Amino acid sequence: MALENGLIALAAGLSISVTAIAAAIAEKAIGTAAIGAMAEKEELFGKGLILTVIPETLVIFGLVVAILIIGMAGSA
Amino acid sequence: MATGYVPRDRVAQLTELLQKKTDNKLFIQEQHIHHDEHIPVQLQNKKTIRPFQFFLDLYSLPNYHEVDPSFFLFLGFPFLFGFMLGDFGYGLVTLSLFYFLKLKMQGKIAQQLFKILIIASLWSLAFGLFFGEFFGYEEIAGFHISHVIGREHDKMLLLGAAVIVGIVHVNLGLLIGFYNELQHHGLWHAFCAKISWILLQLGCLLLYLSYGMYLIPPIFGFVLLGISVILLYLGEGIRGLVELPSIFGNILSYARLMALGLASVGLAVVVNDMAAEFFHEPSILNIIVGIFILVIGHVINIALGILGPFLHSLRLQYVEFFTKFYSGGGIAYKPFGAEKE
Repeated sequence: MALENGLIALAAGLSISVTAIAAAIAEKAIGTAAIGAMAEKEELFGKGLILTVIPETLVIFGLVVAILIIGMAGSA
Repeated sequence: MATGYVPRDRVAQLTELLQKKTDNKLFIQEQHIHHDEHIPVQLQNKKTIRPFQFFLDLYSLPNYHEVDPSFFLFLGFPFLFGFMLGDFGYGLVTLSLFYFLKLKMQGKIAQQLFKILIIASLWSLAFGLFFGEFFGYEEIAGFHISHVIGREHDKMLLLGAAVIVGIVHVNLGLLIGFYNELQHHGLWHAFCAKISWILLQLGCLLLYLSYGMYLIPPIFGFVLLGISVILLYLGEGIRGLVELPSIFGNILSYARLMALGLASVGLAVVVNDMAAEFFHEPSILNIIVGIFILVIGHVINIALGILGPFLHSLRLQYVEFFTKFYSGGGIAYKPFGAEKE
């Protein structure tokens, strides 16, 4: 039982951490480009900021999946 | 000869003024242009809604032919912000902070921004009552604050509420899109391009009713799905079919309402628990350290709680809501001889 719980926790943790790494990779590229654009045109700050947070959806899906995994494990 | 654009309700005023100055020596002709793509736009909104035009300046002005979404930003943005920062105590802090900053900082952009944030803080207060939270505590001095949804305990309920908000918001966007298309491409095209998305969601709902609850035979759901996909192909072509799954991504994206809220509550509770350990054995040093932890922790959490919900609420407006109806690309109306800001 302890092992099963451990595996469930590991799965939930993985779903958040892997999506977080993916979002970080995506945001790295977008952030660099946004800073570059801002150096040319300063009024692009707003658009740059918005574009940079777009990949955060990945982590949020990861969190939802993690909560679902824990919920399913609890009911099983 | 000179030509230029004037807002429609100011034509008479301008004509009169010009004629008076020149003793009727001018010939003024008024032309209505409807099919020019490059007509400049001037947004006209009530005073409470006007600050929200700031978000349109940031994104792109609406073009001459479409609905000005400022009013929907006024409804949607503070609501989603409050949903994420739904804590009565934090709402009080942000409300007083932004009110103070609005008095202190002049300048058009700062004024607009703080007006928006004050309205958002009011929604935070409202959601603080809804979730029954005060600085992460659910009871003050033994008195339990009543709540509709307790965010810490009913995670699935909160997720459901967030997704329902998403469904309402996305479909509102589709209906505005329907109105826009109706004005310019006729009923049939508008129906194919926008209502098909709503039919698609209904089809999925019917399928859920048959496979999840065994209420009705699944044939209804499949028929409705088929019809909606065909309509979508007619309305938006291959591109519509490729984007088919995006509607579910859009709606699920509102799960961030739950995620950011949970993160905010989680941090607040951690701070409170850390401080509570010091208050267990009261001595002067312990109490000072405890208060220090409370203040620093909540200040950091409020700072995160303003930045995160602000960006994510804006993102939901731009990416999930605007893509349903907004094309933008309007040019701002700059009157000849107007003062530069």
